[in-house]
Amino acid sequence: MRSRFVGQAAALAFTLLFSICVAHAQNSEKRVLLLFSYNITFPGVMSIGQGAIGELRDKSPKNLEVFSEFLDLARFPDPDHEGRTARYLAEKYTGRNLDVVITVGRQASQFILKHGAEIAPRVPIVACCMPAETFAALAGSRITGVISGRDISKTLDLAERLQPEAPKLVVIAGASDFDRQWVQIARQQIESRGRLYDTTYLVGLPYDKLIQEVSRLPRNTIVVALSYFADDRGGQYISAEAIRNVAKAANAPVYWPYSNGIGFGIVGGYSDLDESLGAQTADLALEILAGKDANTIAPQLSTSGAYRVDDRQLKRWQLSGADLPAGTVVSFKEPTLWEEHHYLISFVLSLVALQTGILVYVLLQNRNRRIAESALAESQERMAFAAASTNTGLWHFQAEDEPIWAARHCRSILGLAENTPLSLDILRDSIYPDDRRAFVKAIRDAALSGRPIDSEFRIVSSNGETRWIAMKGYPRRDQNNGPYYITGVFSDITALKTAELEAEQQRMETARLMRQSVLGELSGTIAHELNQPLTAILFNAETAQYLLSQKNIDQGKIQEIIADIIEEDTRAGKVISHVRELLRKGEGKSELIDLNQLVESTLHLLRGEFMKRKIHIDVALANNLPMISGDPVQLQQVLLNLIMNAMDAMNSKAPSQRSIEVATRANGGQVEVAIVDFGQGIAAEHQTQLFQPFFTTKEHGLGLGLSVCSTIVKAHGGKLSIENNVGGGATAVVALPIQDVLVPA
Amino acid sequence: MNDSRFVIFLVDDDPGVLKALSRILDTKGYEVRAFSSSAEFLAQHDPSIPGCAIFDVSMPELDGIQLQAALKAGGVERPVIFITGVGDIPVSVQAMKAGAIDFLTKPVKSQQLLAAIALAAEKEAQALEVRGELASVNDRISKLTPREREVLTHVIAGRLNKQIAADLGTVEKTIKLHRGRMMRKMGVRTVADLVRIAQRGGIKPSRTRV
Repeated sequence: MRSRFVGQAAALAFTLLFSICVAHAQNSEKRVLLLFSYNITFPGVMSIGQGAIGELRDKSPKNLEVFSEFLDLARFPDPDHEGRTARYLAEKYTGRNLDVVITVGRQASQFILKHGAEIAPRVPIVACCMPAETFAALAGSRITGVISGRDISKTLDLAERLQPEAPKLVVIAGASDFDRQWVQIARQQIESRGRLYDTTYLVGLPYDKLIQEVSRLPRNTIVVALSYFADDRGGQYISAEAIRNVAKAANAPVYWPYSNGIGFGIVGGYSDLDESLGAQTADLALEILAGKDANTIAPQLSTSGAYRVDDRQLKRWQLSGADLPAGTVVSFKEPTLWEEHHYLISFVLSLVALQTGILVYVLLQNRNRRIAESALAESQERMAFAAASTNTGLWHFQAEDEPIWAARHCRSILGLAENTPLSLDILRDSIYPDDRRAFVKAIRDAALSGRPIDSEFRIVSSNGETRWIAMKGYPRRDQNNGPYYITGVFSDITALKTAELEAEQQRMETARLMRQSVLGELSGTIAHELNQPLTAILFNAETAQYLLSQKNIDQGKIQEIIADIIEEDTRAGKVISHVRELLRKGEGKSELIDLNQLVESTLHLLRGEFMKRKIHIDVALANNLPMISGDPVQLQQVLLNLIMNAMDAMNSKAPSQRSIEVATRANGGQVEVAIVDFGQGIAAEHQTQLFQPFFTTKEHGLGLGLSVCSTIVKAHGGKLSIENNVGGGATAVVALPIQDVLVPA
Repeated sequence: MNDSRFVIFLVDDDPGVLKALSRILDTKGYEVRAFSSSAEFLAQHDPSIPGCAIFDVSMPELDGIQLQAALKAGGVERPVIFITGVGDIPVSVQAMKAGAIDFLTKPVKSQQLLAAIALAAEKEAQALEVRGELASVNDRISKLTPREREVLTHVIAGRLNKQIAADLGTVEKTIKLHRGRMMRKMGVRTVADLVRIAQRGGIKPSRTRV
């Protein structure tokens, strides 16, 4: 009973106490007005505001009501507007009993000093930021705040470290009163420095002119920006934005003693941090809210001053980070992978090492098992293969000095009598002399290395015919790792071979005919190309002849003329060798080819043709294009044909619209050359017939070009495709496989 | 031949040919200005300098034939000699019709070229003479009073003093006076001479015939 009473009493007491607390909090709520000079959209304003409000919220022991006003006086400089704003604010805050006014920016301070009696009578003011002199002049009028003067000396210290050799200094400022005062201050600071500059003051230039001027500055110039609120024609600007744009456009590094240029093209400077300024100001306001008299709080120096640079800008101007003063705050530096994740990387590496160990062990185990399995599988495959081949002869080679076992069919393939005993020597002698060495080598290599045989050789049959025989062989050995024995087959592939050769010959012959016809078309152009050097040679020779007939012979001049003759002669020689290349009977030879070079030499050959037909050529060749392998003559013909097709496609266009783009690029395992024209494109009904022989839409065309091109590209393991462009015309793409080149170390 | 006031303007996009051609003409004592493109030539060409032009026919952008047309369109009467890598008959006909001095196929012998230049120089000299005469006629015409000029148009229309007086609403004696002064200023004695130079000066006879 007693204990219950005690409990109730305690509960009541607690409730009472609680309600008193709330009532007390409501009574003692404090009110702060943040008065900003600018609009919230101005760079830096938000950071200062957030710094101040965050600090107030975090540290205030009491409930706080925070008001904010953005005067925007820079954009509305009209005195009437100022008066209106003052009256409006006075009315708005009547009865609100403000405890502290925090001003951000000099205009807000000036404004509250002027209109404080109406808006917030006798309310202490905390200013962010004012020069020390201003605070001193206002001592005793309930004003304190953070001191931050206008100073470019430290910013110049930084610039001089980064650009020690720069001969020129350019100072940028606007034409407003504030801008001009700034220039005065900066001028004194610059003139009192040890280093002598060729200094230019760009003060109050119209914005466009300013941007133009800075974009023309020599690279090795130090540019220091101050502020730019107005130009000399009365245009108003948001200073920070104007200066950010100057920094972006400038052809030299731009420094600025404000932190909100970092990240926007400014290299750096010595500056306060906006957020810290806000917080520091808020701390002073909190002291006042706690009951301290503003007159007793001395203005404080800013605590966040530091050298600040933007690492990306250092890179942009190739300035060395090693020259920075100690303690410089470097923003936007990309940490190396190691810096960022070295714990993770070490961990992963050790994990990988462990895993590798386990893998090696498992693999070794596995290998022995696989060898046994594969022997079985291959023997089964061999039997199936032997059974399935009717026109093949099976043979078995045990050792070099032992007879070779061979199925009956084997002897008939080789044209030997049924009961001929077989040995390596006898087999060798039945082969075409040129192929004998390769044959013996193939068998010996296989017997030594255990690698399968896949080769071809020729024999001359009894009626004098040459026949092609394919030889496949599979070396084996017993479990004791004894010598290899080989089981294999011979098969007659003469018919296949002949067809292949014939096709190849036909293809080559057609290709040559095509080249000749292309050459015929190009003859005028080639004559022109040859005539140029010949003309120069003739003129030069005649000049030399004339000079030699004069009394005073100018040896130097004649030397010069002869050098030119030699040069022009070389040029003519090149034209001829180009043409000869084109006419050469291709032998399907394969060499390493730089596709870019091939494109260039083809375009050179066609130069006169482009001129004659008034066609503009755009060439875009990819850098570091991998090599391809093939016959340069044949591939050049493909390019010639495709480019000439592109030219023909534009016959009906006005000369100003005739243009061809030729571009190369690497695409996966292939390199591609694309030929884009802006002609009439390919009619839908022709799309499927493009590559068929004798299909043509040209008046005098043979209809072989694309079919031959396609065959050549296919023979090189590539693909030719032609498609219409979205905006008109067609694009032909030749894709060819990359040839891996082994570069000797 | 060594008249320093006669300049040869060369336009050829081939640097080798341009150099060799400038060199030979320079050696032969001509003043040469060489240009490697039509655009460069048009940008720097001073039509008031007497001389002739040698154009390569096939050049990128503006070719030789188009360049000749461009000069003509701009009112420049400069004698042009063409040289070409390819002897294209239709093109040469077109060029000659447009007033070319010659159309030479590369490689060109210097003799041929020098002959063509000599022809161009002769043509240019004639043109200069004509231009000089025209200038003097225009000069004389400009010295006439409006009334004298009016009388002139009537005289070359074959009107008698009496008729002119009637047309202009004055007396024959006044017309006679004007006519005398006008003939003196024009530097002619006979009506035939007057008709000839008035025509050259582009003055048309009066049409006030009732």
